[in-house]
Amino acid sequence: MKMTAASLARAFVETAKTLHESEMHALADAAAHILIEQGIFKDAHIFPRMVEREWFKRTGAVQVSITTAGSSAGTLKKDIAQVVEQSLQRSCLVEERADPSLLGGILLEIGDERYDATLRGALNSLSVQLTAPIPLS
Amino acid sequence: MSLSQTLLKSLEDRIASYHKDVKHEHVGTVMSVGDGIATVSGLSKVGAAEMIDFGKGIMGVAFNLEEDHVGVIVLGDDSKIKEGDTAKATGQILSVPVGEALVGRVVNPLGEAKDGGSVIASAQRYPIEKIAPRVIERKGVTTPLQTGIKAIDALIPIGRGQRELIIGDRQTGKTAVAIDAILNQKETQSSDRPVICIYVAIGQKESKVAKIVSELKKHGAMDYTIVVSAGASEPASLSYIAPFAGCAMGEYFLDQGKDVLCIYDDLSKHAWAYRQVSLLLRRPPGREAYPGDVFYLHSRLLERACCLDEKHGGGSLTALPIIETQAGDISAYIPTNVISITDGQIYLEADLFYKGIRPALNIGLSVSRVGSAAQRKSMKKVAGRLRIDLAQYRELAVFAQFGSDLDAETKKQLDRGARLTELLKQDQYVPVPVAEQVSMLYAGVNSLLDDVPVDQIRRFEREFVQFLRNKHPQLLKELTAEIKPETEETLKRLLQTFKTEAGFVSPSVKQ
Repeated sequence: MKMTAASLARAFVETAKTLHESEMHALADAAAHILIEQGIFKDAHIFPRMVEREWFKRTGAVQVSITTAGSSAGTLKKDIAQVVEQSLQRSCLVEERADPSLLGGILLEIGDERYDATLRGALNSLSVQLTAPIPLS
Repeated sequence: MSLSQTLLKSLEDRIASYHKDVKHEHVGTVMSVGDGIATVSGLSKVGAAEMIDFGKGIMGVAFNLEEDHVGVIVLGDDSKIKEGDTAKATGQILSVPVGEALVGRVVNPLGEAKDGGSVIASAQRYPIEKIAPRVIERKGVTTPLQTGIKAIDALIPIGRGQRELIIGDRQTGKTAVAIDAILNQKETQSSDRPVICIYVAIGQKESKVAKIVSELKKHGAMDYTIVVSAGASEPASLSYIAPFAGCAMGEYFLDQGKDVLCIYDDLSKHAWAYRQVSLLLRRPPGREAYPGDVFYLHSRLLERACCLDEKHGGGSLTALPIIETQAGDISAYIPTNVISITDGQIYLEADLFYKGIRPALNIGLSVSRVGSAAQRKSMKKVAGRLRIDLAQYRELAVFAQFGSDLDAETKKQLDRGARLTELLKQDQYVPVPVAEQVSMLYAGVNSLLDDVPVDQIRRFEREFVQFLRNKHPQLLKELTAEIKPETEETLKRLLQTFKTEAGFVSPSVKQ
């Protein structure tokens, strides 16, 4: 059976569970070698994302990302993690990012759901509303 | 209220109605992009054929829903999309703007202006994929759709709501037939049932589309026509959605109870575009590398052509799909598929085209399965005889090649066949009104042209029709509906006198 990047990602996560943290580099090297050997190196750029996705699938954890304009989310990070864990009954991995282009507010991503409460988002939707064609009857 | 006041009021209303809410979106991440296809991870709740927003004004359609990613066809320039970009599900099925605002415009398959004109402001949108009207909503084809082409209107009549395939090799006049059919709808614009025309160019050269648009403008046909163009340089995804978009635009008028003529030029290129998209999405290839559902692709498009009953508005959508064959092979995969879907085909042959028989219609292989029910009485009267005469001529012409000793009756039939063939020739962009067609075909099938030399037939036709237009407009009006005995008598008399007075008959024949 021909190996695909997706099946290799599954095997990678399965093996990673049994290894020590210090052995992870060797595992990554082995995965790269297999990608070349199997003629699927073209998928190398999406491989880390596949592993990440597989890891979340296996552990049942949810990835939560909090993006703000600059300052740290602070205690908000802890509160959000708590609410998400309670409502989904799953553990979550919270990641914090800064993006000045948001201007203000907060952008919250839980899995593939996104909640946009930023100033940039508000201005964008106002701009869409104002620039829509005006029917002149 | 002045224009500036209207604009200001509209802007004020929009600002006043604005509410700042937390926006909830369903997003994914672009894993790879190339050849008009993007692979997106996430988007776990996306639906089939749902529109995906890549930002920067680029949209896509969710095509392949896999376990851990979604295959999306990009409707635009994919070079602006990068790996890692966010893709948003819109929750909407791909739709196009529809309405009167599109009439007279050249648009791309997304309904955006392509003619350099103003932005198309249309309040309504129709989904490009729609289930065809059910049996209970339909009625039989009863109204003719005149193409203005003598050979077609007489021998392969098309009814409103019919699906008639135009098939032939390259450079045999397929597009010309379709364009003539559009031009001929000009006369319907002043009637109680005007026909709106939609010309869908799929994978055509932009220069060809520009030429067609300029011809339509020159003949005043753009006033009732929408041109949907997915050029050869544009992504295959746009060619794939183009006929569906054109059909959706037509369905708006159909729902208004109007008659629509939709031309898909051509479905061979549409099948190529679909094959390209499917192979890039790694769908399994079938015969000639087309995906397994290529038949369904065309059948679900052409099934949307219909003639609705009065309860459902009484509108109609006539489809004229075009198929380009390779070296006259009508038994190839896509041609046989579309032949079996449609209600008949107009087969154009390269040999006839080069012999100067234009339109290069192969009468033996062309057929209309439902159109004769919609044919006008006057035309039906002359067409039946014409069909028999031409069939006999074709048969005899084959045998006549082997010997020169022919009896008088055979020679007469061959002579008449040659005259009828000459009579069915027609120039491009010159559609003929039905009454004029009837008058000339009547003369042909009733032996009234037997004494006119073959090389004079077309001149005779030109001059006699002009004579009728100038001196006997009432007779032409009567011939449009049916040939009454007294009308027939008058026509016969006029043909005889015109023939001799205009000097078309040689003195020896006159005796």
